[in-house]
Amino acid sequence: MSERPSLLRRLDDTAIPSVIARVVLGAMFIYTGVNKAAEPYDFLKMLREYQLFGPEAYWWMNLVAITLPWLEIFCGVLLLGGIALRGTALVLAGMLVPFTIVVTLRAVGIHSAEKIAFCAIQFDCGCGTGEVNICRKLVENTGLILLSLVLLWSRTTLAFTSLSAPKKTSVD
Amino acid sequence: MRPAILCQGLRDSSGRGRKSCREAGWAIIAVWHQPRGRGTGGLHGGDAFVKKIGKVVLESLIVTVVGVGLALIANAKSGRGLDISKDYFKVRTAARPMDPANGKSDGGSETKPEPGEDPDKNKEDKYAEGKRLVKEAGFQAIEYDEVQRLYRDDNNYRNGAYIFVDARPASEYREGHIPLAWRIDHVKSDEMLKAPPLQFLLPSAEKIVLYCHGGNCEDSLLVAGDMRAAGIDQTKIHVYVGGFTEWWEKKQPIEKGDRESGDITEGGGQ
Repeated sequence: MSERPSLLRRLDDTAIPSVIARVVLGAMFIYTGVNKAAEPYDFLKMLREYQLFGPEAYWWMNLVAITLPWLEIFCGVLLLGGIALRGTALVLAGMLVPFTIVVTLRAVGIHSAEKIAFCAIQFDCGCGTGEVNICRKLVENTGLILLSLVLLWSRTTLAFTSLSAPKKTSVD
Repeated sequence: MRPAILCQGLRDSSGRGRKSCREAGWAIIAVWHQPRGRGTGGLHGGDAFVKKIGKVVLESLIVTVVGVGLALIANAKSGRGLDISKDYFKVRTAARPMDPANGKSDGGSETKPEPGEDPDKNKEDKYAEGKRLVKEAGFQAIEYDEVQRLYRDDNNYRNGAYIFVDARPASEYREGHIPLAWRIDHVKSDEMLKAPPLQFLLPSAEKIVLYCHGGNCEDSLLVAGDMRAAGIDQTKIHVYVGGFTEWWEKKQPIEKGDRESGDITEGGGQ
């Protein structure tokens, strides 16, 4: 007789965590992606603030400004549609982690230059949600990264109807 | 792996049989799913762990490539799409060589101190940096008093001799702008400058006053460069470095909505 699965695994088998992760991540990225795609030049100006690219590499910056919002929307649609979940989650984690680092570094720079308390710093991070408080933003992004990891780790599959009859593809 | 339809996830409570897609009302979407039987549903330990990671990475690459492709198509179709090859933050130079004798201000400010003037005076000027950038780019910086004088000259302001141009985004323009100011979007400036009525109004104007937020806002300078590249005489182009922020702080008239909407209010002050 096999061992009783861990609490986390049993929770995962209900499909509730993965469905929540899909809905939250999907809706969030569609929302932020649409906001950025609506005003690509404003998003480009925000990107420039981070000084990630030299003046000669403007076409790299343009490429990121053009593709990132629509990639976010596409990933959000995939998550809500239940398509290519793990790959999409990896793409989102791949966007969230460096972005969180870059935002943190920018806040640290503001904190050093202007001697403002770190958690009092507010600026438009170019996230598509307007001006945000840095500590709140970091907590939010950490949560989104964790949700991406849930989708990467989860064994439950796609359909929302899995809530009533979860389908497991593993044999324990 | 073989493609499977999404509806295969819809099982009845006994785990046997399945509902048809029509019964469930789901659209048929082709998805990849792991084969049954072995523990392949998650990224957990096992002989096929590396293979699973590889599959996920491949899936992510496919998502990225398709997403980027869709993004490029959407950008090309969008009216607000960006040109990947354009440097949007470089002030464009003249179509012909600049005459070093040109560029004298006829009422605007100089950021470089005159001989004998205290060079520290400019340090107290909060628009000093903006003025320096304007001057470096070869345009005239203009201050509030002169802007107000031009605005109050009803005759010349309304007959097109003096033209004000707002370089801010459309949403901010509609929230409030200097009455009768036109709006030029730096992203679409090439098209806007070649379209009527600006195509005819700008070359025939005596003075063109460009503004954005004020201070270090560069949109007005970028649009000034676009105008110069379009062949408009740069000696006519003045950049109001105090910008809309200062105009609003001085409680000057603000027009909301579109140009000539008639919805005029007073600015908010400090």
